[in-house]
Amino acid sequence: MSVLSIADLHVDYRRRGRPTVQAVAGVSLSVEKGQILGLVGESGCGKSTLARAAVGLVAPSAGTVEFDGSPTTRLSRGTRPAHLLGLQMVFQNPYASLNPRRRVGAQIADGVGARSRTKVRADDPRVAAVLELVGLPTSAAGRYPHEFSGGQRQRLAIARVLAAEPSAVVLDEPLSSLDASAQAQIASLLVELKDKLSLAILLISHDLSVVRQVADVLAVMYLGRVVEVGPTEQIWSDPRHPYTQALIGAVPQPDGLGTLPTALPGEVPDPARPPSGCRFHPRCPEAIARCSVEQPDLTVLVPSGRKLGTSIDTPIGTARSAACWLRIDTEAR
Amino acid sequence: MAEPLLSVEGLTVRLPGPNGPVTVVDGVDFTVDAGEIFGVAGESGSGKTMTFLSLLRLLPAGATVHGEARFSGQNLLTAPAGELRRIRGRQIAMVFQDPMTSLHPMLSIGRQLTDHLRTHLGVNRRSARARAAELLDEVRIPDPSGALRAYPHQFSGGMRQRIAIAVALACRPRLIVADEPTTALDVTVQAGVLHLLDRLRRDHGVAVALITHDLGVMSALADRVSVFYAGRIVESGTRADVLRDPGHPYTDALIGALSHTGALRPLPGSAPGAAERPGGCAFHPRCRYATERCAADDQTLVPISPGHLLACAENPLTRPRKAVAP
Amino acid sequence: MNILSRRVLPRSKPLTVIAVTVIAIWLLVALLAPVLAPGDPLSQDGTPFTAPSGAHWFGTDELGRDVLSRVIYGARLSLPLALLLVVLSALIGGTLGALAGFLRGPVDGVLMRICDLLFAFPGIVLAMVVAATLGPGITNAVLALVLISWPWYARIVRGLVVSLGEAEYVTARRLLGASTWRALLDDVLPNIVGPILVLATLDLGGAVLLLSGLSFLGLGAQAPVAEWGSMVSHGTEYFQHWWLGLFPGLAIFTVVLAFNFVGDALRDVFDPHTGRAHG
Repeated sequence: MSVLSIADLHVDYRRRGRPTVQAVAGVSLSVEKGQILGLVGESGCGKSTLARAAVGLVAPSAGTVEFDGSPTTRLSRGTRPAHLLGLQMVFQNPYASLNPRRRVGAQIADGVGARSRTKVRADDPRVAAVLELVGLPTSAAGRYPHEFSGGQRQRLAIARVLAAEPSAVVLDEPLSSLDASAQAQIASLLVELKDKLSLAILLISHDLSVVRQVADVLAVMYLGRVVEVGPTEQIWSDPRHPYTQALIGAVPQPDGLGTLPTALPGEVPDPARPPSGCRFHPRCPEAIARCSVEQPDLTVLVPSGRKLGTSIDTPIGTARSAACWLRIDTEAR
Repeated sequence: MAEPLLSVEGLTVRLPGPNGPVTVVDGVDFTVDAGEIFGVAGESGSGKTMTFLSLLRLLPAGATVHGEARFSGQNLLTAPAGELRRIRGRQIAMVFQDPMTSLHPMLSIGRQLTDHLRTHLGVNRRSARARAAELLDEVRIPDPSGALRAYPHQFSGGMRQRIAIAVALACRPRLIVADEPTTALDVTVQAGVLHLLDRLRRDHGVAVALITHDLGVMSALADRVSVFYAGRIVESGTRADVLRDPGHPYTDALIGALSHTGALRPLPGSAPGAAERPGGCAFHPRCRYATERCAADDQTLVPISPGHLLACAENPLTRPRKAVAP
Repeated sequence: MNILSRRVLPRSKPLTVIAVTVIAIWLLVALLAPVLAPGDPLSQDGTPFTAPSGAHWFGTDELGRDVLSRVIYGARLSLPLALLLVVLSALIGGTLGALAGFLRGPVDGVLMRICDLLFAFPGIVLAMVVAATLGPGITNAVLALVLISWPWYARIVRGLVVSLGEAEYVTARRLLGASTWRALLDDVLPNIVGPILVLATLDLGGAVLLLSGLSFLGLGAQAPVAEWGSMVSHGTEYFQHWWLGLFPGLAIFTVVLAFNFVGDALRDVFDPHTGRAHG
């Protein structure tokens, strides 16, 4: 059952005197219970906007986000509706997402009291329980955020969110401000929590090498659109979209062989003036005439050779799909 | 054997702290040969950046530096200030993680490059301009003459880093110290900058001290690698020695954290701050092979094979293999 | 941040201690004025214009009143009124600023334009006009000064509420179901108290000076009340009798300086980079 499902989501940024920026231009994704969906892409691809729209911090200009089967609303000045409290977010920078002047215990207690809308004391046993859940000593409750390292702060931010007993958590670049060993620790914590609590996790990152170790399903985003979705290992071992191929090829391996990663020519275009047709075509080594004219939709693929040719509207879950004319023509089902 | 371009011996750096001086670099030895890419690996706070800042005498006030550092015959740590400035401008250049560290936001790229060329090389405006365009072409900036008129903010992060590299290259330095040069870049952009650094080394014979926490980047470029932990070098050797046959459990764990096979096995704990380093081998509290003597004895770098140095009492990773080998 | 704390703390510490001592002494003086003062501040039983001597340490004024007694009683007026002035300005300004920052929109626009308007006038001139309209007197002087002081607090509090309101920890709190008000009370206000306290302390010195200034101009305390500013004002009429102006002037000077030093020290304490961050 999908806990969080995003359907044909568009987010536009309009600013006076400037062309509208389509930060997210028609994305459909869904995250199941007990699943980590890793959403990867480079800066400017719209992944953070998508994260913010998913929890209601940004209003979509079209499309829907459904949580537990009911549509989400944008966070307004008023109180967040109770049925949305199970959808939470962890931010990139754990230095900014914890209040420097409040003790850690009190901030986690905010999470514990979220569902019941009651004021919970910092010495509540449930506070200690979530601290243990994220691998921190219960004595942490009495300390201030600055007394912790970056990795520990990210654990605290995760603990506060878990205290609200969420069923879905969106994490926006939770690892990028951390050291290598803290990254691996937080990544494995996420896997552990997903299994233990059956969480649906949307993990957003620019770092494919970390995400591929924890995500069950991978979605690759380029310039506001998802270009490929599928089980992580399948995508990693056999990427179908030329952008995914470039992205994987560009990750340098610590194999000691001295091989330079493959460089992708060009730069990500200005999202205010996206290229026609497939947004990747100007940088694509395999582009054909059709690519610059018609925008390909995500289409479920089958192992090459079979040609069935029907596309589906909302490719969701673990189905292997890509948005590329080269693949759609030969592999679509 | 030729004299190394840079040789550092017993380098120790202390910075003032709230409770007295703390040792951030603790007796470090290494050499960089002309034209090689020397990789300096380690997490933040391991002393890798401080090592190079101290060589260029760019440390904050109150810092003390001991040891020896010879750069093509000159002693960097004792050279007069004027001499050092000349070395810094012309012979050793720096590239930082954030290219805006070395680019002025309000001056055109052309102005910055030509000013730099004219100050250090004393060439006239016209030839400085021509050389500036050449440099931009060298780092593969499209339309170099147009780029000269543009300002840093008009470029993407990757392009800015290329321009910062062009500035570094301007005086044809013999050594470029590149501190996390690709860390802020997207992978596909990073790949391009890595190609660029590799080409510069091949075409111009410029040596690069590549400081990075990313062992993937290290593996792509470095000829030799030194791994820093808590202010010391714990392992050094050729790229293949260190990355394919790591001897130190710390190196092994760092590679393991990135490895694409097998389950995630994170290293527990975090690197100690400069003021709270444990005695003995500083890594022992996090090391799964640690024994009593790891906590007791300081470890020094000793060769385990020609050119491969290791500071580990137990040496748990290479010993079994040695036992098999005759 | 280590460098900063090392540089600021040792240098400001002795000064802070001296400043706090000076303020404490003045508070004691104000509290114990009837005990400490050698005479009645209003009684005219001395010889006019006696230079400082054993009998009258600070000399006597044109009516033969003891200057020391008048300076001591002056503390009873200047200090509480300065405090009242600052507290009123901070409360009014802080509340309006918080409302503007929280509600934004038209309320914000109107309030901030009013602030701009008040900023556009030279403060003391505006205060003079208001004080003159309300009629001379120390209460009206305080009211006039509150009118010109509150916009500073309003602007700073509004800025803090707006910027802190966008902080990620406030967003995280809101996602956990806290209302905007709750987030404002728990997460934003505690972070504002520090800066406002610093501003208010720095302002206390200024308030003493402003009150004295209005009295100096004849718009504040009226004769025969002992008030430092009006005493300095009278002193200027008799330059040859320097003690008339000098001693109340010194009183103003020490109080203003002491509050400034304490304010600076508080700023260091509340700055998260130099204060508690070291934990």
